[in-house]
Amino acid sequence: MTTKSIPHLPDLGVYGFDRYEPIILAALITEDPMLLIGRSGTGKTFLLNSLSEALGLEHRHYNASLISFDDLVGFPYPDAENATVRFLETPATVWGAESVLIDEISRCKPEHQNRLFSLIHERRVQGIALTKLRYRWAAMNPAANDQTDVESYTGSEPLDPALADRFSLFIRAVDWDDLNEDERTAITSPAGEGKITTDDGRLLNRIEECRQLFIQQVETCPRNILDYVTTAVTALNGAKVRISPRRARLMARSLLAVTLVKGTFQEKISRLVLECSMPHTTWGAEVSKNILDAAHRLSWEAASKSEGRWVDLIFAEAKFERKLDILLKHCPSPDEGTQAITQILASEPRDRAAAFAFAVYPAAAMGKLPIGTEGANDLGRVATPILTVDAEVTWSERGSVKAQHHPSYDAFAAVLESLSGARSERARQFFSWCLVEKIAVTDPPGLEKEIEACAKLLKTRLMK
Amino acid sequence: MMNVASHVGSRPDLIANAGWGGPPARQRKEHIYSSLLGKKDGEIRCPRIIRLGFHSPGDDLLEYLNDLIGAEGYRRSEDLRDDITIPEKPYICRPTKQPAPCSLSAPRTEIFRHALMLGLCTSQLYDPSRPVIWTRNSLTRVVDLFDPEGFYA
Repeated sequence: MTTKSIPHLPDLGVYGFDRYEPIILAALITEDPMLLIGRSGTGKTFLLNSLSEALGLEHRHYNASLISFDDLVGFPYPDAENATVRFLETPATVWGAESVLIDEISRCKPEHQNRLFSLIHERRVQGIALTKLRYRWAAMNPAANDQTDVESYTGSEPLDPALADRFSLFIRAVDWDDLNEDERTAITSPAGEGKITTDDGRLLNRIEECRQLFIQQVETCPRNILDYVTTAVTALNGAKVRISPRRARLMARSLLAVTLVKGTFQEKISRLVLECSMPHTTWGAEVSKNILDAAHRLSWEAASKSEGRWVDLIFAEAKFERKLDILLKHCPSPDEGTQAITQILASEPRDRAAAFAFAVYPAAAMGKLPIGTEGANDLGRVATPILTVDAEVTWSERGSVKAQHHPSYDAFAAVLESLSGARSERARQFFSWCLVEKIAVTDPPGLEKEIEACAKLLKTRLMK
Repeated sequence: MMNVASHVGSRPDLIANAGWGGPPARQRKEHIYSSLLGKKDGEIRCPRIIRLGFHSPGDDLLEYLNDLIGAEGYRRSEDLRDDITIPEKPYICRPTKQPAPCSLSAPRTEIFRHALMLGLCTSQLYDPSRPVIWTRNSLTRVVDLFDPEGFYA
């Protein structure tokens, strides 16, 4: 076992966080805000206080449910010239702190949230910079609408997503059932109660060493890390899991830091960084494991083979015009283009696959897409029947209700109403085909917009 | 409408129908015709460039055309490209049920042009860059070729 692979947390008397240790170390390296979520008595506060002791930090521990503003800043008084207000510092005020733990952040009074917001996000209070502050940590019980078991945490409110988005990493503290036998024994042992945590500087040295490397590398973040994060964020947003651009940046920092901790860019730990970067738990939502797995698979592929990354990006993107744009810009050969087209047609629901083929087939037929004849024929098989519709549509009139048109007609007519010119003609053609083929279109206005965006993109390309 | 049928009294031919009294569902139908190919109004214009096909009831076209090109000194259908002018752009290809435009009594240049172009058509695409493929199926089709450029008007 190398020195790097010896875990740090058991040395500090912290058990049950082994799985998350690289993530915790990453948060110490980036100095980005970290939030621990778990049931009471799972060691969240103990972990964070122990980290501050091991790193020799000037630490402040506040309970957000009890905190008052004076506790944070001290008693205000005018300076000698009556020109400005100063604050009488106490051992509890935040001014000299290097690390701050805001416990029970989800029980915070709403009026304090804004103050904590600037503390966490900007390292400022009342607009005054906290120049020594490096670490901003918080802990909370699961949000009240995330109670799936016996204990209920009344008063643990869902966090404001804007506040949650300022945290970089979210770590779920494990409970008794998830601990192994050794961890249970170690936790149960009453030895060491009240002692200052120390590991003879091993953690501090490791963090300082990695922090130096991090500062050097963060300015030219490795391409595979950027590829992983951009693909993951695109895929998650495509799956309707909103991830902000800020979070993408935070995720890249965390992934770089965790790569420095592990020595190499590794798949398993990247998946864990992705999972721990999701803020949704803090407001009681959950990102499904399947969505995370799918996003990770695409991202890992994109990061592993930069020459094939464009394909992964195509599948990470939800909108057709973005897929098309990637195809046009990055497809290296007609064979690979054909393969991408085949996969797009196979992976989309029928209405969407048809819309895509309809929008791009004319350009493919003209040889304006970077795809082979087979790809153009695949598109043609789907699109040709849409280009000319000549069929009967049938429907039932029930009871005394007179239905002049097919039930889907109104939804299509509502979209067509606001359109004109070539755009209207394309939309009318597509929806006519949907009617005769009895295609249920989930989002007619959205799909029409995607057809139009593709047509616009191709028109621009054809004019070049 | 839910029908609950049961025998009434001793008459098995009498059926009590719980749905009685409501107006019945009526089947409606509407014919829809719409095309972006070959239309002459609106902003999108994808004009028909040509109709291809042979009027040849009962003839084995493949055998006939192979004999014909042999008689003219061509070794294979691909060689027709040297002498026959065909459109250089790819077009959308759509089978049609309209009558075939070319009879076997037409001038040979015309017959070869239709045959060559039919050999360059898949069921969706006329692609002059692909190899000429003559089969009984490909030669007996009647197809229209459309220029798709106007689709992006």
